[in-house]
Amino acid sequence: MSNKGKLDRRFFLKGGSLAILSSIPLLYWSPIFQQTVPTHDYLKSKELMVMRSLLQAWTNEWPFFVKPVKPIKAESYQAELELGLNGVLSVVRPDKRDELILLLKLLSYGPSCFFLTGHFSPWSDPEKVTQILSRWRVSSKLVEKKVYMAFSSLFAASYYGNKLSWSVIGYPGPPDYVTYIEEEKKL
Amino acid sequence: MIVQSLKDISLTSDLNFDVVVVGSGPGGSLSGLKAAQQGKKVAILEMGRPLQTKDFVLDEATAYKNLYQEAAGRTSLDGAITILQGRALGGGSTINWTSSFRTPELTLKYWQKYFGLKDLSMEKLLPFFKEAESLIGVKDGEITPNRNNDLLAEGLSKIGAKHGLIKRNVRGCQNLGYCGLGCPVGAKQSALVTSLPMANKLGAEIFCDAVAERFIWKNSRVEALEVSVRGLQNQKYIFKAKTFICAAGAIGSPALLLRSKVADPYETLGKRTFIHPTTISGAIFKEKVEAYYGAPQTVYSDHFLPTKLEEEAAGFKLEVPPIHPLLLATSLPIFGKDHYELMKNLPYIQATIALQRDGFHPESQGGRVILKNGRPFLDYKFTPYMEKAFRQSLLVMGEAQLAAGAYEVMPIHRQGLRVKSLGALLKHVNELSMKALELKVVSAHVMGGCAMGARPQESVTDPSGRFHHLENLVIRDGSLFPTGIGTNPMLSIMGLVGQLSS
Ligand SMILES: Cc1cc2nc3c(=O)[nH]c(=O)nc-3n(C[C@H](O)[C@H](O)[C@H](O)COP(=O)(O)OP(=O)(O)OC[C@H]3O[C@@H](n4cnc5c(N)ncnc54)[C@H](O)[C@@H]3O)c2cc1C
Ligand code: SF4
Repeated sequence: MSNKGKLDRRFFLKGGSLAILSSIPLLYWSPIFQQTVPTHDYLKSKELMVMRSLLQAWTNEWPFFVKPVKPIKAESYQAELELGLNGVLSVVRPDKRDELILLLKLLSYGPSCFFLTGHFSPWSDPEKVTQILSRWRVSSKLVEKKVYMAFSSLFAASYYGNKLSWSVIGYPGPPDYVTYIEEEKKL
Repeated sequence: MIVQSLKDISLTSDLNFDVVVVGSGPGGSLSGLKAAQQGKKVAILEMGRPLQTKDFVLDEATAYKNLYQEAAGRTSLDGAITILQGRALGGGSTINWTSSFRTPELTLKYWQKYFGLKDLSMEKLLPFFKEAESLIGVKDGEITPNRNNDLLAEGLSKIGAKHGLIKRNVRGCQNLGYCGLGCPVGAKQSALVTSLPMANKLGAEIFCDAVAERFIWKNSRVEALEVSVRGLQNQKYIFKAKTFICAAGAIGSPALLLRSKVADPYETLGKRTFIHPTTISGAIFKEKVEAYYGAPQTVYSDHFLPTKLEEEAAGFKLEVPPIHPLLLATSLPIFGKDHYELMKNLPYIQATIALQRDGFHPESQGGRVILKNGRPFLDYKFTPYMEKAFRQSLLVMGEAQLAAGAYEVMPIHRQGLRVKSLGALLKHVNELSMKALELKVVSAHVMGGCAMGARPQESVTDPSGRFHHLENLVIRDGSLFPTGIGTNPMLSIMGLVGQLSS
């Protein structure tokens, strides 16, 4: 994995350089992903921490998955979500993945983090992270809009790409079409 | 149908054909079939995987990964528009929602007047529409609308807007509602179950996992096509043919020509790419809507589309999308509690979409396909003219949803709020910015980029679809359209390709 983007301020100002971040695939919950490289293989520990705290704030108040009748435990819930994230990183177009990793790198580095969030290191404070997301949501700065939109599909996909989320939103799943066809044939 | 993966073909195989077709969407498959019917030795190349009806599963994540360009994550260059396109055997027809419309007459008249496309009159196209409709089983009335569609009709009736029922290309539809994931019972009459197996029966060879990299050309002729196996770019196959048909779809076809560095003296290639930029309005009802079940699109309204050739406003067509969890969740640019509060209403959510007619006004000239490291991007910018139509569409959709009895409506926007009354909707939508990356804009209708026209200064192909600068290269897909069309494009592509191939 190439992680060689430069941490310079010009990066932000270059029109369109963060553009592809919003193109995270809709994903991606499939057994295949469970065999892919774990997230921490793509991300260094600092970047992983940023990703985790953003994911936590984003999905705050989303219920734990239910498996199949009981909610699953906090740790396995977190693990499920990260597996979803990992799915994104493993199927995403390489140039887009590099941009995402670069963004996380920028967010994990004090000065560039300040540029994007107004804080030098907010990641261990969930309240601050939620405030940052709320600010990005209404921001009129192009960079912040792009970053917000990028995470929007990424995190939603990590959660709702997982079939365990279906029951918490009342989705009954697809109909059993095989039976359906057979019934039709009998007519 | 016998489909080969290019992976399994030896590099030393004889790859000489009369006709090589790039892309197996409705355009490519039909032109491949026509060539095979004329007794030609045909190869159809498709970059998607060799998946057919039996392989389709009703799981969004799997389907998006297997059957869509960039796993359904393709966007415009600035990330503001989500672009859905098929990357599958059968192209977009394998994953589309089966709505079948002929090209609006107004669009054809516009093309005749402004692009010199004299042969594209309804009278001349009619036999080819009929032929295509009979091939893909287009008919109406087979399915009763699901509640998602019904509510659109009810709301439109209440606000006095005309609407109608959509004809669909299905045979024996089981009304499952999962057309967007590939029909698992083969009822949808996509290219996958019509033109492709028919062409195959007549001897056309079909290669999947085959990425056309570039045309190799000399003087005024294409000599060969360089093709690689998807994911293995270092292994190059050389396909030779007398005629090459480029049908890689909008974005795909101009990108292939750009990679081939073909002549482009007037810099028209990739320009005039249209997308019917689409806005979304969500509504929550007290009754169950279950918009995930039942044929996705059965009701439409053209009430807000222009009726005169030179009408000022862009206008839009109204339809509904199917609502499955992943598609809905990733379309909502909100987070935390707001996001979940909406998602947990899934069974009660109705959504309406407005497809803006682009390409008919100086402030609606489409986007441009460009390459970055050989990969295509669509640079498409909104203008104040388009933003005006976005705003109007969100108001009209919300009004219709409230009239149908919605408890709450919500424009799908970064700062969208749930509102309960028409007054609140008006105030809210009028305060929202309609700029890029503010409201959610999607497109499932990419067109143009290799525009046909009588004048080389403003087109890429001549009116017969032949590329201006290479005599044995023709385009046969939706990239030929010189504007958007104001309706769902599949049947228009098939009618046009039928006529051009005759
Ligand atoms: C979700 C969705 C719903 C839709 N619903 C409707 C609907 O209800 N009604 C309607 O009329 N239209 C609908 N459409 C649009 C319609 O399906 C498309 O307009 C149509 O399929 C375009 O046909 P085409 O032949 O131009 O190209 P495509 O169908 O896009 O086919 C092009 C093919 O070429 C392949 N390709 C691209 N580049 C290369 C390359 N370099 N080498 C090899 N192969 C390549 C692609 O993988 C693709 O399979 C929908 C589209 C989507 C995505
Ligand atoms: S509604 Fe179901 S059965 Fe009918 S065409 Fe779509 S996927 Fe196939």
